[in-house]
Amino acid sequence: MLWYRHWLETRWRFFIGLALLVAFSAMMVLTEPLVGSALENFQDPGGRIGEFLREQVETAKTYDGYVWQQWFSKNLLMGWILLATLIGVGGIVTESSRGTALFTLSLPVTRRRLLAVRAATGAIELALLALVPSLLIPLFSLAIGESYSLAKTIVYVLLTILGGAVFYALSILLSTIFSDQMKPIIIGIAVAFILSTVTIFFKEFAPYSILNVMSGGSYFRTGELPWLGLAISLALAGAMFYLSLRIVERRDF
Amino acid sequence: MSEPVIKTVGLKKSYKAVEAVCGLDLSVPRGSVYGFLGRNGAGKTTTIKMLLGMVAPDAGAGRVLGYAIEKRSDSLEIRRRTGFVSEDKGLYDYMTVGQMVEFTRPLFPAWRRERESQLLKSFDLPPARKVKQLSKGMRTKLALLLALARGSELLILDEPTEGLDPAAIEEVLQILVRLVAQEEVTIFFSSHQIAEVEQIADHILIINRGRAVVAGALDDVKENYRRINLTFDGSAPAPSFEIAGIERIQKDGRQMSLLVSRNLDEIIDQARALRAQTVDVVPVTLKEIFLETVRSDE
Amino acid sequence: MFFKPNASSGVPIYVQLMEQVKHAIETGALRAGEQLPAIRKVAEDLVINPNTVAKVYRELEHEGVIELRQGSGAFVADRRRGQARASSVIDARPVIRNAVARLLALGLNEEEMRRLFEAELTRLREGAVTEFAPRKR
Repeated sequence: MLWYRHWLETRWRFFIGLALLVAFSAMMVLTEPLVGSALENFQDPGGRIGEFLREQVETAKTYDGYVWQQWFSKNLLMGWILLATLIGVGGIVTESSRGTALFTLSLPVTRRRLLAVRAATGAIELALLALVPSLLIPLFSLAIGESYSLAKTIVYVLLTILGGAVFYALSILLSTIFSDQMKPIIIGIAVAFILSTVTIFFKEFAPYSILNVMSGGSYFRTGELPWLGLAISLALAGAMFYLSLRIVERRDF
Repeated sequence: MSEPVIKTVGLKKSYKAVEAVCGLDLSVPRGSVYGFLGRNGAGKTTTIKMLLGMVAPDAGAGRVLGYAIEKRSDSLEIRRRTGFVSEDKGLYDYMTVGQMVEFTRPLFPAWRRERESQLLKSFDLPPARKVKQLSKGMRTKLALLLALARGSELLILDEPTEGLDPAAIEEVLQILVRLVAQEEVTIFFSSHQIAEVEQIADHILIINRGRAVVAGALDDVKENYRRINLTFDGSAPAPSFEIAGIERIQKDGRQMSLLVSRNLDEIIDQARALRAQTVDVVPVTLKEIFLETVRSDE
Repeated sequence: MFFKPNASSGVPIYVQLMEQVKHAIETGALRAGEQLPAIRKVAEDLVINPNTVAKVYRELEHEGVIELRQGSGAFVADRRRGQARASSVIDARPVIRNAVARLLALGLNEEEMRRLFEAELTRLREGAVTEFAPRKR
């Protein structure tokens, strides 16, 4: 029942997130034919921005590149990070400001288990949120006369989830520190925003950014999987999760 | 004499600079109805939280049902065997009454289905209604149901009748009394309502500023506490009693009033030696004992 | 069958209930051999602690007012044993009635009378041996 309770608590976030992502993915695929002409008429503004835009345009000229750029590097990436932050909040520390923490804590369930079930339920939801809209891409591509590899889709989805685990773990960690829901959300979004802005302006850092791991930049360019990046992300996520467990166990309610 | 169901020795807890509980010794006998009285902020809820592992004590030790409150694995066993109602009666407001029952039931192997349906009916709780739509009184009743249906041997209730109308209060007290009559259950409850404590409790503890000021069997407290009223010819002399048992002395012109908890006869002797014109010994109500013992600390 | 005791009185509930039973026997509302209601029923009806009711029955048995029969319940004791007690109580009534009347004539009110009585009982306790159950436990 603990799983079901956490599902009840997060289902609106899940459904709205899913609806939006599905809409974006469908729209992205179905409007692709219109993009082609815009790309042909591209006007280079010059300078650093120009350099950046030129690259973007080049990538988008192929279908694979278009999907990678628009979906796995942008819409899914940002959307998923936002959802990971939103789904990560909750838990007994938040409950204490709503007055239900004592009921939960009076149950014969360890705090560890409460946190673990919450994290696992959220993880399953996040996996589905990455998978379902992404799987629609090979499907919808057929409607516009293109094809997109199912295998590649799954690889990118896994990279998104496993690479993005840090954001989820961060949100969970923050939710054990702050009792209001807004602070973890704001901090999580701020971190993602800063990371993405930095990599736009300082392209040297881009390959090392977690965002690059999640979007599978190296896989797109050279077919190489970012093993190191993944390992670091998972290790960091694991450490943050462990820290969350310790914090929750020691807290006075 | 069997082991007390709850036993604490020197329990302490401070929050920043404030000492919420400073050296509390508690001993709750099996099968008793134990009333825990105190003003707001006296340390009642903090004590209860320590017993259930929600708050870690700074010092001291405690055992509930034989399990240590400071050990995580033991604390789990305590909660498996205890029915608890918190002061704010907070329940998941996105769940319905029925869902709350479905959620709680599997966690307690000793759950009583018949008690659950009986209480649903007598408390008049609609299973399809969401918790957020329940009034405070209904929420309290639901919280009580979830605690009582667990079939536990110990009930820890923090202000169980708060927010209920008099008829509902009587209903709840009756259910508790019936429970005690039917089976071996110990009820430890905190309350502001002295009247209801007097009605059903057989033991009490009055806590003030984190310390126990009165503790024992209720009948003993009522029989041992007495007020001695003295009137003098001139103004009342400065009190100088050397015997233990005087809880409070009040002087007002020619009158002196002593609240006595023990050694009544010796104190009467000393009082007579002061050459009072009249010496009256009268019984005291629990309310008076409460008011005087929580004020005399100041 | 019992009246609701006053929980807030200075007199413990069990003492009040014991008095109720004794009074019922004196006035004939309860006769020898009659069964008293089960502890559980009394507790539920009056909404008081069953341990208190148990104490009432125990003390009454100790004083010989009732008998506790294993498995069957509580019964009013045989008239012959309770007789001596009951008759001295009946004899006491006119004495009390007289005293109260005279104190009223002196101008005392209820509270004053009660206080004097308590004081006198306390004085008694100090010195002489009493017939009452010992207070110090």
